[in-house]
Amino acid sequence: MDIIKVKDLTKEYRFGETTVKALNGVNMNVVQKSLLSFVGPSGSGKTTLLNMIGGLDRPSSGQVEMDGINLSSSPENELHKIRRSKVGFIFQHFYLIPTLTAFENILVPTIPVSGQAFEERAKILLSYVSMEKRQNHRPSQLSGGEQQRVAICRALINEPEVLLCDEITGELDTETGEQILRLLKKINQEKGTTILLVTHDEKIAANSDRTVTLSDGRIVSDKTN
Amino acid sequence: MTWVRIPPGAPSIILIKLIKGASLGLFNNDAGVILSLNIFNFSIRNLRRRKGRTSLAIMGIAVGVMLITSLLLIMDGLESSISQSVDVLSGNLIVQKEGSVDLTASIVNVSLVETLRNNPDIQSVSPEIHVAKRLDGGAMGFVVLIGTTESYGEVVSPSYIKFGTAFNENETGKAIIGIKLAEQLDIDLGDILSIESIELEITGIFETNAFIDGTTLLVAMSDARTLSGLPKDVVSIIEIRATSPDRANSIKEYVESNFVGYEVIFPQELLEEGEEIMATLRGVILIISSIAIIIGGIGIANTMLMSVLERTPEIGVLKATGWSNSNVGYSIVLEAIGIGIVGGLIGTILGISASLVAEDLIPNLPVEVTILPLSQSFFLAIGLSILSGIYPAIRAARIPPIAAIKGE
Repeated sequence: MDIIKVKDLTKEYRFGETTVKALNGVNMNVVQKSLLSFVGPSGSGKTTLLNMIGGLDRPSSGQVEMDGINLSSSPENELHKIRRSKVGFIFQHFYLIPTLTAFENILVPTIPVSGQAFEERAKILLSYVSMEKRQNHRPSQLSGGEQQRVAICRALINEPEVLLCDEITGELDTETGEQILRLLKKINQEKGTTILLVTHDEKIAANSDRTVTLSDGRIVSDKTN
Repeated sequence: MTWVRIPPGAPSIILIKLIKGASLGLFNNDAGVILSLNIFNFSIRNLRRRKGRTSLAIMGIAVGVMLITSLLLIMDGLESSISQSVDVLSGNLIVQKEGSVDLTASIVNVSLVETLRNNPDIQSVSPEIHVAKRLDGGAMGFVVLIGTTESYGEVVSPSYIKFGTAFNENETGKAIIGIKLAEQLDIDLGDILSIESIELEITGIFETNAFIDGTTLLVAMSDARTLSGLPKDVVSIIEIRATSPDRANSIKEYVESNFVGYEVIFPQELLEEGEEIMATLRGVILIISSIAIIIGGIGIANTMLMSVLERTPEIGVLKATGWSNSNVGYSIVLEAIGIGIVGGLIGTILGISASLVAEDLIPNLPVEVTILPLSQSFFLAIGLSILSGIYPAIRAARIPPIAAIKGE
């Protein structure tokens, strides 16, 4: 079953008189519970496509459907609910709140709807990523790998159906990066979460179920591994 | 200083809620204790990121609140003092030399006293010599000495002597002192005051609830005559109490039509004019001190705006993880309110302290600590902090998530 449907997706940016097409008529579907990598050179449109799929950015034309909901036509006051319930984002730079502990950072997405159940879930997630002993440490007291694991827990706290990961090993050393990828694979297999990865790393792409290559805003290759 | 009891209820509930909020996360961490996180303590903890800048914003609002609080407390004290004097002097009249600008400059023939005593509209008559003198040793500025007779009590208040012996018009070298003046000078019964080498033993302390409590010594007529240099056949003024306040105008007409060169004034009217002047002064002072608090508000707005700019990518992540625009805006306004609450509390405490210090340093400056001006200035700070937080909050709320994550 396709959880994501992308139809004729185009994104244009205007710089004065010049128009740049970051995405140019992209069409693709993503099967539920799959692990997919987007690869391609810088400026090929990988991150733009990921942001469109997550409802963070709006297309110039075309549409993105997630779980049957057209994100492209949803107003912002609906989009944030979709992001909260269906999507988890993980970024290259972690973006943890420096004044909060690891445990509290995981709970940040739930603050507007806080409840005891989330705290229990956060503890389980910390244990899942082997961070239970570091739960009361602030980001400055954690290594890059640990911070990214906290960011993964934060993305999972609302039990999303789709996890969107943008260059998440970009700030990590090779070994830590591999640990993070093994963790993502585990999440994909055990929790059945659909994972979309943007990466420059061919090794990471080779470990996913499917690799989509973009160039100049178009899909130039789409292969199952 | 007057303390007014704070009624139980709302303030304590607010305090409990604040403390509860604090216990939910304001001061936790590193103790291994997991506490629930809500938007309130999330926002307050954000303020701790730039402690120096937050402290400056807090001090900015605190200075404005301090200014308004202290001025309001002093104004309230002055107004209350005048109001009490109006009540005490209701129905009183003063006969003075026509055109006198000051009671110490007036001269009235003493023969008028007996004539006035025979008027059926007049209840009591008190001849008085008013003289302003500096105490020997320069302990404070001028005090007012009133040389009078035992009838003074009938005019002002029959039970005006609070401590010591009753006023005796024939005892020279003795004085009855106003209760507030005695407090300021730290004077007690039996103490000796010296004025131009004339020694006066304090034999009593009076209290009328009028402003004279903080300015005046009552002395024998002969001592006041010596100090003022007035001849025996004159006094400064004659103070009159009418049989009822509605007879005051007929007494005025009687005196001014039968005795040339004299006029009758109503101290109550003068004081009521004083009240009007105080009301105008209060408005002016509030406007001036509002400028200070508005500058504090601008400080909060600046702090919040800087904070929003610095945290733009983080705001984007909040939106990416499901925060709505209003959640983000509310969080920013809460941060501004946090600054307002702390600044308001500090400013209120400093304002009370400053007004009490002023009361100690400035003679006859009454201060009245009541809940109304304290709550007015505190809630003004909170209101202003909300206003100051609105623009940064709107700005944060309106940034598209992807632009925010990119830090644009």
